[in-house]
Amino acid sequence: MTTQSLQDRMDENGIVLSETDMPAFAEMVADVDRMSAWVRSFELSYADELAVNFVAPKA
Amino acid sequence: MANDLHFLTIADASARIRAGALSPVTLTEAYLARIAALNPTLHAFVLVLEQQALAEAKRAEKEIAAGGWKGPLHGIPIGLKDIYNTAGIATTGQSALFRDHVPAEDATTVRLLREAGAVILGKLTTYEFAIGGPSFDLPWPPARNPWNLARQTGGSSNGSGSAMAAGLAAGTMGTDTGGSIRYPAAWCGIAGHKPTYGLVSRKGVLPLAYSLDHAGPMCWTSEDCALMLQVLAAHDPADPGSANVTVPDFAAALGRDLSSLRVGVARSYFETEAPADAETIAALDKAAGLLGKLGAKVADIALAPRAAYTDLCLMIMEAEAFAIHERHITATPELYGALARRRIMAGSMVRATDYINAQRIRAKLTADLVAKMHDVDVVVMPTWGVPASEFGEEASMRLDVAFTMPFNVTGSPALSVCSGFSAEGLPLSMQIVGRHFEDATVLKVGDAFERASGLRDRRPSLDLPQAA
Repeated sequence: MTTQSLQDRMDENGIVLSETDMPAFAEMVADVDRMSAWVRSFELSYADELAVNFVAPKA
Repeated sequence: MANDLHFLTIADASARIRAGALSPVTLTEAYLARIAALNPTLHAFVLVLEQQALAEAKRAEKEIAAGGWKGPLHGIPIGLKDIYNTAGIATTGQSALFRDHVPAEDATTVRLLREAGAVILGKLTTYEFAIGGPSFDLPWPPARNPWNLARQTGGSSNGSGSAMAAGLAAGTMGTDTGGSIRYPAAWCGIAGHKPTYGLVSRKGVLPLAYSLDHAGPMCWTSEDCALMLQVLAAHDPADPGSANVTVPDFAAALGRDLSSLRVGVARSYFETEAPADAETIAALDKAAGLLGKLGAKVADIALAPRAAYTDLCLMIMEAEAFAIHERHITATPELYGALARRRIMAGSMVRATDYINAQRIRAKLTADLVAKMHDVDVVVMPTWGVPASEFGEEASMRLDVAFTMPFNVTGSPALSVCSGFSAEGLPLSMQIVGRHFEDATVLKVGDAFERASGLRDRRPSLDLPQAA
């Protein structure tokens, strides 16, 4: 991930950080990207659609 | 040492109070004196409610003298992590953003503690909004570890861990989104119980990540956690995640006999996947051996990869935390400390589809653990793979050897107990994980281990500062 591409993503999300924050933040974003890539590699079928639990309405 | 009032367990203090042998006022005064002497060094409390606590203790004393004993927490001094809302009392989240935040209502759990007659001593140090790390750029410094003042306590409930180990409260409340009850429990050598998701209300607790947040007790012993959980466990319609289940008698389930109990040791987690240090592994093996001597059948068990659970936990936590904080953190990032700011802002980079699919995978991995736990009653492993670190960069928190996050993902009950001490005299840890809503079994195992191991007799050798 280039500095420019990270900056573009920050701009899209309204993220403003100081220069001192940037090295550690870039590492965290790289970690998010690694975790996201793993999630996308996981085989989920259409039948798994009910796997997410929503809060049931209360009577 | 057991006669030092500040080191009494809740069970012991309560028995004395009920018998009329100990005044809640005397007990509260002992803690206030201890706090006055040690808090300037430990930074465990951000706010001490001296006058209010004494008034509550006097009221408890009168009620008990009049025959109105309410139960084991009546007249017992308790500290609250400073993300529990307290009516008319500042609840800051350790953040400059909430420095002047004064809630109108108590959190449900605080109300339950008050109704049980507990004395609220004050508000305890936390990582900012329960995320980030031990920061020195917040309005208050992080708590220090009573076993070694140069060491961290673990977090985010760092004041709760420090206060319990130092004898600054009889019991404390923590919260746990990725390990924040069990991590400071591990590094401070106390007992910390993350209840089953839904068993204890989060209403009125500043949220970090809705689907992972848990509220629970941090005490010196598992028995004390059971006594507190008895008061805290209750269905709360005001918390959408609250479960409407029958609450068992947690203390009645305690006992040394573990025969017929099956214990799985998640060995691959701490030997190969995220290797713990040698002392931690040796202590865990010794503890597992002791559970066997108490009658349990102990065998290794293979769980789904720790890294899968841990990645899901972090990804979901960061995304939900950003959703909660977006308005404030994008408008006034300077009001957050650097550690929390960076971690929360990283959540902005999680795509919606990835978050939703992470929750779908979470359901599968939870089902996988439920299936594996058909063969065992509890699973054990270290809580954290190393003892307390010195203060330092983020790597010093040693998330690489954390074993807590899988059970935030699954919502399982999980208790951290002290499993021994390192050669340097720092506490080591064992985590005991149970099936959903079988918190009583987890606490029973922790209690039996603590009584048989004798580890609860050792306290940090903090010397009171000399008077000037």
